[in-house]
Amino acid sequence: MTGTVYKEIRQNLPVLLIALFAPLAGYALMVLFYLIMRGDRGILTGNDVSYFEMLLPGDNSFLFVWKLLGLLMIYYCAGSITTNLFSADEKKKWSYFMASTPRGVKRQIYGKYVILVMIYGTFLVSQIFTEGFMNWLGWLDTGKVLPSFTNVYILMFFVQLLLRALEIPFLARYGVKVGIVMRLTVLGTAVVAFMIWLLFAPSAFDIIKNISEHLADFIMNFNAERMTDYMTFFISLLPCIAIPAYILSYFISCKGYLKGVTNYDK
Amino acid sequence: MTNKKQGAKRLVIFLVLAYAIAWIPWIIMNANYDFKDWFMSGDGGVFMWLTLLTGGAPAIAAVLTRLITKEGLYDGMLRLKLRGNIKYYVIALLVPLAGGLIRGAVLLAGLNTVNDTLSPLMRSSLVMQAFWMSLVMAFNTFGEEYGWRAYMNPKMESLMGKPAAVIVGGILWGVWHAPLTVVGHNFGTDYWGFPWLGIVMMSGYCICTGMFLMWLTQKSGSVYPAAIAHAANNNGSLYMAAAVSGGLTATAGAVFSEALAGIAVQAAIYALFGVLLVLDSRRKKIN
Repeated sequence: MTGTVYKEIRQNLPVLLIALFAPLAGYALMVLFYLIMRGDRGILTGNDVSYFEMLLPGDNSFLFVWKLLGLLMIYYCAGSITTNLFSADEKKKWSYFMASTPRGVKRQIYGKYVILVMIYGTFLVSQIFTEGFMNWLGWLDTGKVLPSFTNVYILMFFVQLLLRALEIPFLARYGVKVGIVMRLTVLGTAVVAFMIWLLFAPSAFDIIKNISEHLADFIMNFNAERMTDYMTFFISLLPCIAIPAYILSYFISCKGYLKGVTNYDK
Repeated sequence: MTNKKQGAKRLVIFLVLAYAIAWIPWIIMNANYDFKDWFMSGDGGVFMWLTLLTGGAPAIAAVLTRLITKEGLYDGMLRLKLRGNIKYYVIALLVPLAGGLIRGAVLLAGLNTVNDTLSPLMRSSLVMQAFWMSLVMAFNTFGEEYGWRAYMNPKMESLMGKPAAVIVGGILWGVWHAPLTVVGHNFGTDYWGFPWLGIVMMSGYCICTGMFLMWLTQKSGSVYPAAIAHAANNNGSLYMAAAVSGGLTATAGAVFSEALAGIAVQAAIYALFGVLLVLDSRRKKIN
C-alpha cells in the first residue's frame, strides 16, 4: 500500500488503537471509582447500590457525573492529537520533499485531515458501541435502561471537527510550538481560575452538585429530544457549519503550510 | 483451482458467514423479544450494540473470508479516491435525499396519512439533519457496503456477468433482511401477502438500490460513496420526507402504505442507474 493516508495510518496506529479502546478503558476506570466510593471508608455509605445503578442520574449519580467529566476531559485531550500529528512531520527536509512531489504539500495536508477524521470517527463508533454494550449489561443488572449519550457523542464529533478546522491552519502556518504554548496558557488560566473559585466562593460544592443535576437533566432532555424548536435548530446547524469549515480549513492550511516550514528548527 | 472456482468458493464462504452472523442473533432475538423492543428502540435501546454488530455482518464476513481463504486484507476500494470522483460522493448524498423529497411530496399529496404538523424551524432542522446524519450513519452502513459492494458484487460479476450479478446480488441482499421483514421492519405486518410479499418486495427494492450502489462503486472505485448513499437512503431520505410532509407515522417504514410510497419512488430513481450500468458495459465492450 502507498499514499500519505496509509503513511499517517502507520504512523498513528497507536492513536487509532487508543481511540478504539479508550471507551472501554474509561468504563474500567469508573469501576475503580465505584470500588473506592463504595464500602465502609467510601463516600457512598448506607446505600448498597450496584455499579450500574450509579450510572443512572439521581441520588447516587456519582458515576454519571464522572462519566460526563471524563467525556469533557477526553474531548479536551483530543486537541493534543492534532499537535502530535503535525509535530511528527515538522522537519524542513520532509516538508520540502513533499513540496517537490507531483501533488505538492496538498497531499501532505490531505493525509492529516483524513487521519484526524478517522481517529475521531473510530472513537465515535467505539463510544457508541461500548456504551450500548455496557447499557445492556446495566439493563440485565438493574432492569432499567441506562441513559445513552449517543446524541452527545455525535454532537461532540462535530464540535471537534469545528475546533480542528479553526486550529489546524494556525498550526500549519506557525508550527506546533506556538500551538502548544497557547493551549497550555488557556488550560493553566482555566485551572487557576477554577481553583481560586473553589477555595474562596461560598457554597462552591453545593453549586457543583446543583450544576451536575442540571447537566444530567439537560443530557436526559437532549437525549429524549425534549428540546425547544430553537435548540433543535441550532444543534442541527452545528454540523452544517463544521463540515464546510473543515473542508475550507484544508484549503487555508495548504496555502500557509510552506510559510510555516521556515519556522521549523531543522 | 481455477480463478472462477476459487472465486465461487470465496463467494459461498462469504454468503454463509454474512447470513449466519446476522440471522442467528436476529432469530434468537425475535423469538425472545418483541421486534419493537429490541431492534426499533433506537439509540437508547439496550440492544443497540447487537443491532450495530449484526448490521456489520457483511463486512465481518468479508474480512473473515479473506483471512480463511488467504486472499489478503488489502482492498483498493478502501481508498477514498476523492480526486476526480467528488461528483460521485455528491451524487451519493443528493440522489437518495431527492428521493426522500419526492416521497414527502407524495405523502403530502394525500396518498398516505401523516400524523404531525411541524413548525418551519423544525422542518429546516430536519433538512439539515438529513444531510449530516447521512454522513454520520455512513459509519454504520459501511458495515454492509464493504461486504456487498466491495466484496460480493465483484466476485459475482466475474462469475456470472454484470446483469446477473445485479439481480442475484439484490435478491440475496433482500433475503438477508428476511428475519427483520417477517417481524415488520420494512413494511409493517398489516398487508396482504405478509410476510412473503414483503420479502419479495424487499428483494426487488434491493435489486434497484443495488444498481445505484454498484454504479457508484464502479465509477468511483471506492466503497465510501455507496456507504454514504445507503445511509442517505435509510436515514436522510426519511428526514427529508418528514420535513416535506410534516411527519411520518413511524420511522423505518413500519406502516405499509408509507413504505410502499417510499420504495416505489426511490426504486424508480435507482433503476435509472441500472440503465447507466448497462450503457457503461456496452461502451467498455465497444472500446
